[in-house]
Amino acid sequence: MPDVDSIAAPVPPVAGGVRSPPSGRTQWFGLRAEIPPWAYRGLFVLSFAALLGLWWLISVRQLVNPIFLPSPARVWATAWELWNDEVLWIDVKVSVTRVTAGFLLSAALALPIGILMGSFKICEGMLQPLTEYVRYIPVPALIPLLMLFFGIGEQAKIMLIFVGVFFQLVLMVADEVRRVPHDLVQVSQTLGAQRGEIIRLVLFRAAMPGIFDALRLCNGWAWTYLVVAELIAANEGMGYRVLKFSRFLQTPKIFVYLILLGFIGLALDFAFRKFNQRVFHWADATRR
Amino acid sequence: MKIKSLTLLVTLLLAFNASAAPVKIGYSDWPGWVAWEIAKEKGFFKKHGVEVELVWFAVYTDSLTALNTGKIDANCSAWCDVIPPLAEGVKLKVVLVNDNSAGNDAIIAEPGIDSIKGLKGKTVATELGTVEHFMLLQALAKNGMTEKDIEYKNLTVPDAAAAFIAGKVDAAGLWQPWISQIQREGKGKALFTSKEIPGLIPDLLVCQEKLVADRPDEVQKIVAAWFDVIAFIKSDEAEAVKIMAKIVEQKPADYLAFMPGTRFFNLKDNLHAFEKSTEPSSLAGSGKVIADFLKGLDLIKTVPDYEAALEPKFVHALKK
Repeated sequence: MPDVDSIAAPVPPVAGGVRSPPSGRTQWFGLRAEIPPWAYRGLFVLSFAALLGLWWLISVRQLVNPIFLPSPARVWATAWELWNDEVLWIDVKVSVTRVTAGFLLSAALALPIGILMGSFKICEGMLQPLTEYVRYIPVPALIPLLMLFFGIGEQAKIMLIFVGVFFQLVLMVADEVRRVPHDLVQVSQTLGAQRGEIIRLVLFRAAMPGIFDALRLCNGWAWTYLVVAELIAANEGMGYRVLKFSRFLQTPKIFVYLILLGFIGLALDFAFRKFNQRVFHWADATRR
Repeated sequence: MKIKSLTLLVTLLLAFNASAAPVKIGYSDWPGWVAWEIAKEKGFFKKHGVEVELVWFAVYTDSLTALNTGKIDANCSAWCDVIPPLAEGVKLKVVLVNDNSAGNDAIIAEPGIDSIKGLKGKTVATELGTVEHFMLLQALAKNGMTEKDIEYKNLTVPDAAAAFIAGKVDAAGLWQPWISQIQREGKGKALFTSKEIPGLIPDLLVCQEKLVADRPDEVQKIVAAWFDVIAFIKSDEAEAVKIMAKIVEQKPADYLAFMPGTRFFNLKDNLHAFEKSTEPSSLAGSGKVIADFLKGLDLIKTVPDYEAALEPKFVHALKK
């Protein structure tokens, strides 16, 4: 869940500001202080290099049986093999389609419902406790029910991702709408705006950057439900393939798929952030 | 230094998991394996002077992972689940056959489908690479068909049962208790059961090679305790079923229905199973059929030397 208290009211600008110290010197450990972009990127590369190094060290020293932790070289060779295999790309295509469909469906419903829940107490009372309740039900336990209603085709897999994401997203959207300062609503009312106009032009607009951030987080969640979704009568897909490889101990292939999944996630996250920065550049910088 | 202390830490952590005594045996929900509970309850392990810790796994495949990763010393596994780790180089030894499935695995179809041939073009659900999937392909082959003749759907066995009951698939490869439940309610009919492929679904006690090499005396005693279990089931089935039903939280009366579908293996059956033979009733013979099946599905890359994984000396030592 997003931190509820962090953005209760706009922070008045401090003279000089914490972000660019008067001296011009970088405050490496200044609270929320900016660091130069080259350092940020360097740390990003370094963290990945460290993980790779640890992996390499463990496998080269044979601290873990290579059947369970294959060496980076072995995984690289397997990756090359899979890269030239049609199956991998079919899996990627199928899984991207499933996740995107489930995610878009959740977003399409969670946005209007969340906005209503955030705007009207009556909607909040009706839906919030129910949503809070449903979101704690473990999604895999719902597989038999989903099959009953949606069969065993694509629909069931998409619906599973929908169920996993929708209930979280709707609460996050409602929270974002509630977080819009009440002053804005009062000012609009004083200026004679209608209720519908305030929802559309004030509450929604002001909450949009936050909502977009919620969408970014939920897209990540949608991906984590992929393996569960592909338990339902799947014959292809990345989640299905990982399950199958693990059943038959084909660990190097599992690693290739997991690494690829990670990169897909990273790329999507990056795209969401860039979009957010471009479209909502007017929003408070701390939100990003 | 830093790297060294890290190495030490990791090694210590790993060593901590593999400390000696008692022998940890993983087991899960299957009559032939739950029967180990009788050895514990009736003191057969104690009688033979061996300390055993039975480790319960609610999900069978988790027990396979635990064995493959060396978290337990031995496990109750089906033959077709031993061959894939062997193919990946995990060092395992088969020391005992607990039973053969003789009806507890079945392909169930909705009323109106009367034979395997009738499955042509129908949807059939079961879990990829499991005993049930293996049996389905055997059943199709016996009727001159292949997986291409049906519409195969990959679902875990419990989910396949749910999909079948909900009418979302025409047939399913299932095990107990679903088989009896579905038949009792008249929702389906068994077209083919494991009874028709004798020897191809053996349930085994599989040990780490290290356990067999380092602690053979204890393995010997565990194997000996099994034959006491067999004798006990024979002499007092009601009491045996009571002990077995308790751990899987079923009523003894319901559990009794699974007994005829399980062919418990006594010493004579074991001696036969460990014979070097091409008959499917021997482990060497069924091993070939299973390995070819897995290879044919591309689930293993190479056929491992499964005969080398058979360790008959413990049952041989008990031969009178």
